[in-house]
Amino acid sequence: MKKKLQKIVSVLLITGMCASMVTGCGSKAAQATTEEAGKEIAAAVDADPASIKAHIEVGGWPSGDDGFKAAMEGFNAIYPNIEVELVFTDTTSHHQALQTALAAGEGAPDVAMVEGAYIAQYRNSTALTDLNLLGAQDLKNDFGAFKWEQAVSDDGTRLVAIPWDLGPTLYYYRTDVFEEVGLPTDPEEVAELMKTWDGVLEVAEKVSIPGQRWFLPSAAYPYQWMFINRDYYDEKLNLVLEREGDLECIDACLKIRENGWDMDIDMWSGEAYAAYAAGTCVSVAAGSWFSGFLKTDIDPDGAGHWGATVLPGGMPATNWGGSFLVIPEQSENKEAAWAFVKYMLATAEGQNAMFKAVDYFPAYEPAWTAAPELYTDPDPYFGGQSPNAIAAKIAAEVPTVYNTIMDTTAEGYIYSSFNAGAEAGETPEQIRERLGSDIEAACAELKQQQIQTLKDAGVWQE
Amino acid sequence: MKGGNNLLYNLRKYRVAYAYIAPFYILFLVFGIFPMVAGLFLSFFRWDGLGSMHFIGVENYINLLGDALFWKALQNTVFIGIIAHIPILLGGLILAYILNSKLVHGQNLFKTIYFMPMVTSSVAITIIFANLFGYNYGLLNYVLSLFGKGPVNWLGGDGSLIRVAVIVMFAWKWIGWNMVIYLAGMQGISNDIYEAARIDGASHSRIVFSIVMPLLKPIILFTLIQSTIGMFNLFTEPFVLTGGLGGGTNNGGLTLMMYLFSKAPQGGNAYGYASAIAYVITVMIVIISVILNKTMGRDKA
Repeated sequence: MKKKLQKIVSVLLITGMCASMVTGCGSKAAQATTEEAGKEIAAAVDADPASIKAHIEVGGWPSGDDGFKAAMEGFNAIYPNIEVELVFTDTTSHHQALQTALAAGEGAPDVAMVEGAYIAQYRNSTALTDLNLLGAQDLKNDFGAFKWEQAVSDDGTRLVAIPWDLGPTLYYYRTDVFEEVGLPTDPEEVAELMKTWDGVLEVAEKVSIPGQRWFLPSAAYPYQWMFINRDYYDEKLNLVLEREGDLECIDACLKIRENGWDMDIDMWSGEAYAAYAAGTCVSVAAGSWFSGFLKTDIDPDGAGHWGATVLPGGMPATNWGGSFLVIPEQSENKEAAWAFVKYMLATAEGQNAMFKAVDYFPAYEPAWTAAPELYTDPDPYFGGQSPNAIAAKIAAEVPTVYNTIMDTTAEGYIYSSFNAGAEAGETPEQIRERLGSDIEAACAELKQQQIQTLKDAGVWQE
Repeated sequence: MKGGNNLLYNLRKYRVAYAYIAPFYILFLVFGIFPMVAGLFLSFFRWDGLGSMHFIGVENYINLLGDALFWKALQNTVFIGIIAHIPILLGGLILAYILNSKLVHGQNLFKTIYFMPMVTSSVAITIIFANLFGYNYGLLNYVLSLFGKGPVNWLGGDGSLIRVAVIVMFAWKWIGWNMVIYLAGMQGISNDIYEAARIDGASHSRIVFSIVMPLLKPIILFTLIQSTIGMFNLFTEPFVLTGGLGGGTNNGGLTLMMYLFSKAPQGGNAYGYASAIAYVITVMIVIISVILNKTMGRDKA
């Protein structure tokens, strides 16, 4: 009797579960925004801002919330009846929660941040509102093409996100150490000196004191800078590692390692952070958001002994990260959400208020000319230099590239494959080959997934 | 039909009882059983978490078996687990014995201190250990330099030493847990047995190996299963130490759980493949638990 009851109960439970799974998957496709609905939303946002009454949730990670808070007053001056609630957590948790909520069809915020490294996972998703329907295509020319294209679906029809900020890659160096060893400290002179790999090695040798002071956190990084646009794969999903001057670059990296001019550690480790602040690690490269990291976190007392210029070794202009805003299709307040995105990201006022607060370099180009002083004024932290002016120049030159879901995994391997190759005494060609096979092995399954996504989008040709 | 009637009859008859126990079963169903079944279901699909799902049969499992990184991760995980279990088992037993035999005062203080690593945030612990094992400024390398030895790149180099750091952290964390459990077990052993042994002139090591260990067998089995599961779940320590999902140079610190995370949701979004990995790990845990039970648990009953 009891056995039987147990059996029946478990059968019922399992059936119920399967049913809920099936219906769960079935109801996932939220009501897609139609063309007419999109036009209505666009018109409402532009025509009568005060008429939009809503409470919206905006999700992301710090310090984006500080940015929004800084621009909120301006936003509410135009949209007095939109109440904004910020739901912020760390980057990883935010993306996991967003992904889950999109798959479940409910629970996502009305507006969500998406980090540059993740955007390739979302560009084809129909769970996000096609912003072109809301009139976003009119904004296209105000944004750098390389950033905008990352948010366009593979079939070229939909736009799932608006770019927030850029990360023009800058080379940061300790001016106090450069001065001490008799090197120039002016950004242009440093750039000129380090244009060639010979120049880079000369600087490395001068600033380094074996066992006490080092040129870089790791000799692997100059090689990583070559790929920092994250353009590892072409549109046929072939891994393309050959770059102009890449072997010379690896060769220089190997020399830095052999001579003990690098600390041989991760640039984001606590040890490296301590060394930046102490002046024992003399230089490092990162997106221009690193200026904010230095000022607030790594070296708050370091005003006056940091400089920034373009990447050494004659490398082309590149972009390192930067985030986007999306509007999930499931949002019931698309008007208010679109008003928020448009004000924050596509007005000079919104972007510059956030730029001042959190150093997120605006992807919205009219912001640069609307308040030129923000971009050209000498920055006391950088000894009166203006890293933002250099960043703006770099941003204008970044090429459009093709991004995939394999990019973050591939990026992780440059550091470890270079170290493995250097440890094994390999030549630059061998290291490049090793990197290729390491990436292919680690990305095999992700590539299958990417091909499936492209097939679903109808743009994959065998 | 009769079954149905009985069910309804029983449900009605015991409805108050069922209502009382319902909260647990509903929560267990939603947060326990459902994800397990959904994961198994997913492992037969290719799915990016957002788009449409594609049934691909056992392809995920076949690809997994042919993936060199999977084997590397398995090898690392088992190596770390086996080496770490030597200090975990012996250290736990010896510490528990010392405390139990009243060789030292302040039993409760030591219990608390040794148990602390188990309840401290892994991330916080790992940041401290990363500093100990640091290359240029690490405490360990400083100590080595006092003996005239050059700095060792624990977390870099060819990647083989990352496991040393992970083993130390893993063992350090689990010794205290095992000690507390063993101590509880030892207190269940009658004092007469210890006294008889001592009168017969048995040494401390003799008592540990010939009396305590055989009598503690079921408890040792329990801790072994717990720490085996802990071994397969090893993620935070190597992840934070190596600063990425590849596990450092030559994948030296890549564990199975990191390998899973590198497919979804952190490194990519291959949810079907990640589910297949999760199921392979589950099967391995079940097999090892059964083997442990069979070999150690037999004469216990």
